[in-house]
Amino acid sequence: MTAFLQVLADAASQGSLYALSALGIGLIFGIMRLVNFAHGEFIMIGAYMLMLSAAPYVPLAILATLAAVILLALLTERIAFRPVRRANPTTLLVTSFAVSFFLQYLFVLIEGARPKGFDFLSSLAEPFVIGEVRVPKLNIVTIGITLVLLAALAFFLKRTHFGIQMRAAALNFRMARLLGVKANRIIAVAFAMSGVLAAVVSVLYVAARGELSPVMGLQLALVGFVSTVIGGMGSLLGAVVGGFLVGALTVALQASLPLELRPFREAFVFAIVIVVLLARPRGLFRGREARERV
Amino acid sequence: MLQIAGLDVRYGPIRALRGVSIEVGRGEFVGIVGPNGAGKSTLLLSIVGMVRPQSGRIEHDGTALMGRPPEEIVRRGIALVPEGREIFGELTVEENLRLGTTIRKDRRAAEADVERMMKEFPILGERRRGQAGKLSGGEQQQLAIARAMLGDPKLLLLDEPSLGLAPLITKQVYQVLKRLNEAGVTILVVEQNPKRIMKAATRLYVLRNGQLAFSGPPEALERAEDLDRAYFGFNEKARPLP
Repeated sequence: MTAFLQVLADAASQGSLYALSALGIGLIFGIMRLVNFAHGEFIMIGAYMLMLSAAPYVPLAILATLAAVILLALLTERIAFRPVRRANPTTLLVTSFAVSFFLQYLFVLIEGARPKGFDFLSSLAEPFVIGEVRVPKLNIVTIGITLVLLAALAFFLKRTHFGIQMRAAALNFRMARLLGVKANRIIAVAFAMSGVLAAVVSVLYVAARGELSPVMGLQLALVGFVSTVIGGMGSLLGAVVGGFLVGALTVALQASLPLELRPFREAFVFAIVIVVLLARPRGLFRGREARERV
Repeated sequence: MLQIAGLDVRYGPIRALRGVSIEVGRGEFVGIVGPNGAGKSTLLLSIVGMVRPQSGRIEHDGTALMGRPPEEIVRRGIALVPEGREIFGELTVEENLRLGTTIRKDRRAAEADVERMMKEFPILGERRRGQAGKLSGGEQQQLAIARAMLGDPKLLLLDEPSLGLAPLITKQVYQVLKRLNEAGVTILVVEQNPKRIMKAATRLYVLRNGQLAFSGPPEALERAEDLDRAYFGFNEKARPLP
């Protein structure tokens, strides 16, 4: 029982990071049918921003990270994605790869390719003991922040007028525009929101791993993308559930695989992903990938 | 109120509209009829900026509309109820109505209008928390019209509002349009089936193969053969295809 609770606690925190990454990608896909692989680089640059701004005053560093990633997301949208917004999905996808690689190698150039150690909030690594389960404080913080962000996003989308506009735009952008919903503003806000999600992942990820590198975002973007596919492209709830599922799967395999197979954990994760998609090709929650874009 | 002159629209090699000129005066109830593929929807979509014409002029109260995005045109008081209604099926009825108020500045008045609209269309009030996609075709049409009206438009464009509706429901929809027109809203309706619109409109255009085939009062088309001639081009020399 204790072992199970331990795995559950780890899975929830790993799943949180994946869910937040998936949500950032799912949000943009829902609105403009763009799979933004550069989302991983938003996370990576957030991490470097955190390191470079690491003032002794932690909240300030976090704020600077948030601001920088939001700005980066907005700039990316304005410079790279807006001009090709009406192009076909393949063009959008290739553009997002181009942006992703550009940012990655830009940071290889500036900061070097090798991972850098960065000690951030390491005091949170101390465990919090409940009975016999030992959960690092950081995991509790991660899960807590994720739940707060999810609740805030749900409130925004369901209860505010702008949120309703955003959902309408995701369902049928043409009709939304005919009612006066401003395409540029909706998309910019969606990117800003994905920037917030990415920045939060940057902070939590760096605090957990204690290191960063120009390629650190790659895996997160990939897992985020896979999670949105499992959940059903176009469904935000699906993205979140998919993220938690992949996180749980990763942690469960880590705990249950024989020692000599553990290095191949990811292969098992993705094999299970393939099985899920064979059974439910459109994901767990029906997405709307077939709809037209702006 | 609305002047369109020499409008040309192409989709690739297909010429959807060829030199179409129409005019809609303030307070009028104008109908455009024509067979499937005549270019009726294209005309409405050009007015609201969803389709970009190759040449011609579209003016609203003396301001050129062409090249402006839809979200700007709707703010000038022009609303379109598109073909197939295009309600947001997964949102609630109330959310659909709220979306209609997107361009309104006075939020409090807009909220009050949403409530008023749910009284005016009682079925929408009853189903306010239900998914809009679960409404019947006629109810969805009411929702689409109510949603468009919540933007407080001066000119309401409707694309085949009777499509897929039972005759009785169509009659109700036209009663609603007549009421709106009497309240001062200018109305431009496109229909494939001319029957209902001929009774309601004060002026009629017939569009065929992307060109105007007739314009005038509906009474001029009262004789069946006149309508057929305008509508299908009967009794005319065969015209070479474009």
